Amino acid sequence: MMDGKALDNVASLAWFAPELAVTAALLLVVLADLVPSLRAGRAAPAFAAIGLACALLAVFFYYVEFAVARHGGGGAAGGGLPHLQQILSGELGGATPPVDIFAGAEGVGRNRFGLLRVDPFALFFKMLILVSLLLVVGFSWHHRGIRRYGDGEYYALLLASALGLLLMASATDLLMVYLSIEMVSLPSYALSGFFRRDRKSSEAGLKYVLYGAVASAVMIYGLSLLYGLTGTLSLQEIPSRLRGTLSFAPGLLGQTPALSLATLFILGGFAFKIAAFPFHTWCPDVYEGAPTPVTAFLSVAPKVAGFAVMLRFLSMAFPDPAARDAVNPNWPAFLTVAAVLTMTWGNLAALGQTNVKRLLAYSAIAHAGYLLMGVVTVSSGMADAPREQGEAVIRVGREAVLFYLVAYAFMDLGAFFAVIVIADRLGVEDLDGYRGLGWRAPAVAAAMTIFLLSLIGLPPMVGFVGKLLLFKAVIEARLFWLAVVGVLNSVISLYYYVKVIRAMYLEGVPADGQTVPALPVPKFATFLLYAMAVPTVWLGVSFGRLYELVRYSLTGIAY
Amino acid sequence: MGLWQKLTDPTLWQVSLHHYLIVGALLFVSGLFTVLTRKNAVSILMGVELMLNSANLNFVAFSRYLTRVENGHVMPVMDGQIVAVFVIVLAACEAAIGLALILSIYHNLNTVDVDETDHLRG
Repeated sequence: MMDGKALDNVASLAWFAPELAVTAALLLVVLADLVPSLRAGRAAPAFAAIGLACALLAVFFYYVEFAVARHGGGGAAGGGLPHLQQILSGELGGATPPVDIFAGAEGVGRNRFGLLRVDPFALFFKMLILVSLLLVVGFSWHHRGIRRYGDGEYYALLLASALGLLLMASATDLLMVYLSIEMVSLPSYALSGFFRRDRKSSEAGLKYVLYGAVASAVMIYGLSLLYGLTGTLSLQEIPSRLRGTLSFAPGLLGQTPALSLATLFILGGFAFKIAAFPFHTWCPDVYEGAPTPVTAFLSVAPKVAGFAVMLRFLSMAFPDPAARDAVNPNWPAFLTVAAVLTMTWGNLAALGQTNVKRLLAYSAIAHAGYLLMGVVTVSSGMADAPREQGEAVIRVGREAVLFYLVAYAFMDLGAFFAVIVIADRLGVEDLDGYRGLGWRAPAVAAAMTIFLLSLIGLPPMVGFVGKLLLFKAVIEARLFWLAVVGVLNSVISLYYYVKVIRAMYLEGVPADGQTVPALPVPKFATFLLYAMAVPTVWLGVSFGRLYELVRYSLTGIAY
Repeated sequence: MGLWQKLTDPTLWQVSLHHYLIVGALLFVSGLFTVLTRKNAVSILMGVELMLNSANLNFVAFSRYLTRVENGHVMPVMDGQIVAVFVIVLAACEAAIGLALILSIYHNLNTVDVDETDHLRG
């Protein structure tokens, strides 16, 4: 493992620009809401978009700086642009030491380790999160309901959530992990109940807050046990503490059950964020009831950040995955059970759905299950294998997870945006309303078909490559039965995705000579749809560069 | 040693870390029981408060018994107590948002019973 530098609080600000940009945008949105002329002029979404774009730019420059430092080319700030070509052509590899930030002020409460870590892994997730949030701002821009209930509040909550998501991607301290997850959750509760005079929306908000509160309470209890067992809050210190003994309770460390319980509870908190078993039950209700742009946001951004924080937690706190240390909890077993139950439950429950929003909610649960498969590519037989071989298998699994998350972000956001456009134009979310859509709104239907085919995992879409990598990783870990379960689940999912495509193209077909009224779709909406449909196809055909990016992003992660 | 001697043994009545942990675990279980059995949304939030405070108790107790040695001096470790303060603040935020959403449900449905808020299903 590499030793990075830990910066004090003031020096850390240089690596904190994305979060600061989002915070500034958040304050501007709140202030602009107080000025009537700005409120009428729709300043809130504009500020939100500008703030997120600035943050994205800052994250990108940090990423370039890491890649350049690896090449030994200067590494000074601002030297980014000449190396852009290098990044885009996928010339990445090797490892750069991470930067730990917010390690306390010099002298007072100085910690050896920071609260947050900036490394290619965190920056990769931050880019994905910010891109998906920019798309969500685009979806919400012309949404009538959101304008009616108040632009300012909506974008302020969205940006507050964005800030939490960015922190989640870099958190390396138990307190920071918990705080950032809560910082995402609290605004999300308010967002899903945003249409406060709408029954379904307020019910969604209530269900979300009740499930979320329980999940977070379970998680903090697990964190308190882990703190007690290790005596530290820093994820970096946990492995060394687990090998030592504790002054106050010498017998405690031998008790793997306590550590397993703590890990189980903490993983429960992560499971809530990624909508996996056993904390998945909120998902369909909240997705159906919440305003659809919020649903699109919830189905992608917290899930991406949840996987980021989970991967970082597991790789930093329990770096020896084959459990050669006697004190390692058996987390791969927990997650394997969760993965199987999550995808099977999600796919089976989706079969009977007629509401497309709800169908996509179950599909989101199923995808969390597929992604979990990539996290658990650690088999019990690996303890006998050489360490390097085990690490290579885990690396392949992590790469598959990161790649699939990018694919998932585009195809899932796209599918939800198609639902938003159709609901806005036709006022329906039911499958019956989609009949004959292929003739009435060919552009929307074609884009929706691309997203659904990608969600199934058919070539040449990016979803196919993602699933291929996931299954390859599972097979390399010799978890053949898990791969079989995954493939069977993919086959089941074919049925309900194709049901939507069938309704659009094979039902309600106009008779010969009959003309159907074309559905007017705004140009901006069409543009956004294709802004997601094009990457969905293009990344599926030419995935090499994305794969290189993913590989480079994982170099700083210890196992 | 008879039961009487056992009960009057002063070491038995000395409060140690284990006692805090047992109280914490009891609090957590009673909170979880409240969450699982109550139908009233406000009661469920109260159960969550119990669970959060059980974690707080653990943090403070562990923190009290942890020490580190710095320049030859034995120093207390304050991490756990700092976490407890953060959790208290978050519990307040969560209660505020939860109660606001319960209020909006009450305006819409005239009930805060979670069994009757079932318009979303399928």
